Amino acid sequence: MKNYILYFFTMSLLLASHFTIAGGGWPQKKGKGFFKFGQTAIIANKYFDSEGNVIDITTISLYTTSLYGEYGITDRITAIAYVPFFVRSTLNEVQNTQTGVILPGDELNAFGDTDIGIKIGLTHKKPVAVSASLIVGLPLGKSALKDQTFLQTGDGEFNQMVMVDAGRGFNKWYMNVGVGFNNRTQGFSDEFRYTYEIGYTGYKKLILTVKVNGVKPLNNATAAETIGNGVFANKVEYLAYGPEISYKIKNNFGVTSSAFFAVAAKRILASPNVGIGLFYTL
Amino acid sequence: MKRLLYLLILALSSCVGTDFVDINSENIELINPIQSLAKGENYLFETKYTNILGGEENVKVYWESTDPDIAYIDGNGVVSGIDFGEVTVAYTVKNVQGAITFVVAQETIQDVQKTATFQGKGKYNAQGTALLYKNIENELILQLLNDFDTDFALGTFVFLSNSTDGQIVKASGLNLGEITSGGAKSFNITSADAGVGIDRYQYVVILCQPAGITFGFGKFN
Repeated sequence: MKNYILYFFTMSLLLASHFTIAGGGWPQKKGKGFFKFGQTAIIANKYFDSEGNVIDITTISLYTTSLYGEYGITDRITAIAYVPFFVRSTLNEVQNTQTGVILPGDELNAFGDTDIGIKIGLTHKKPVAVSASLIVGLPLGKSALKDQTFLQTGDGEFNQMVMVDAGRGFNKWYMNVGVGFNNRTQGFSDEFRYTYEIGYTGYKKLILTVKVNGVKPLNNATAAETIGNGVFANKVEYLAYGPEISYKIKNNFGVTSSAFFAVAAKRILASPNVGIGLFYTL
Repeated sequence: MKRLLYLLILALSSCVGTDFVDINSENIELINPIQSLAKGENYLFETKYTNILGGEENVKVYWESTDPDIAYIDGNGVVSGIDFGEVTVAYTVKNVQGAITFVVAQETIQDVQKTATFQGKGKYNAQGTALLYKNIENELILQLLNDFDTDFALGTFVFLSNSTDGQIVKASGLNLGEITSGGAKSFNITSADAGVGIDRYQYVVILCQPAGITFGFGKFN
């Protein structure tokens, strides 16, 4: 069952698809790995404003095509990378149905902000697996900060996140909790992050999970609030949950699909983030 | 395999779509409003009617005075100052109605200037004063005064509109131009649309134009 748990945590994606949580409390074993080709999409004509109210906006979409990988350097140290190599953001055109007048939309295709990091197992062969991760976010995407573009594929700031996870497997279940601190630069507000996940592995090829992810800004920003395309903003805040279903086609290959919904949020698109992917394990 | 991946990415990344905004453009505008009418004088009100498709139409206007003993108005829009006092004249075309309140006094003064005080919408900030007036070339000018300030995002624009709803402002308002700072600035409305009169729009709106989010607005008095 441990193998199932390992696959599963690596498939976690936050509501904002530019950020990943890796592996829960379990690092990869030496020479083992997990790799995923994923596609996520957010299509939103609503927006959580700075008070948390949902307001109408011109439809903004964000499509992220990414590669995610974990590889065990040792039994305790795992290398992690999340590479959104093709990110497409669009702004719908607007047509006045009475007059027929059309305001043009916009689109941006670019590389996205990339995360790399390491996870260190703090426990070994204990009932509760505890690990610490250090992940840095490289601002390789197009952003309002660097490129003066409304549509964005990144936030433009170099961030460093420390995350501590604790997980435990049961007979056909597992669960994990994690807390983290995300230090953001360029005057963006730092963040407290938390995650909870519970999964069922009782079926032979099917794995079912429910995840809860949250981000709480510490409100120490010196930079102005930005709107942009509603994902990469300063002082983003949300509490989101969602199911993920994975199916193993072969022993080391499978497909996965997920959807995340925000319960409450500020400064972010108000629409589900849906995803599909193919995964492969070493 | 590479080709398959490329096709998959393309299939899952949509084209730019279209949002449809249903806006009724029907409007009646009083072209030559007044602040006061001289007792004993006549004055001809002129209007401009815009139909639901945004086109101008020459149609019958129905006039009504709230107090004919102060100001009487006939079916052609000619108003007569009968006695001193304040009065409101309503004008109606099809489904739209407008009204103007003025006083009957010693002299007739045309209303050539309006002011608006900005306020933020939601938690967004906008403050200061806007002036709408006709200059000596008879061009309509919007002046934001020194005390004007607002929140900014990439693509913050000044609009004139009859709504403060961001999507309606974006689709049907008059875009006067982008701003990147607070303080005094001036916009020539006649240059943007020569057909706009001083009574055409009720609001000056600060809009994050790409997303259609209203940061703030001021209602003209």
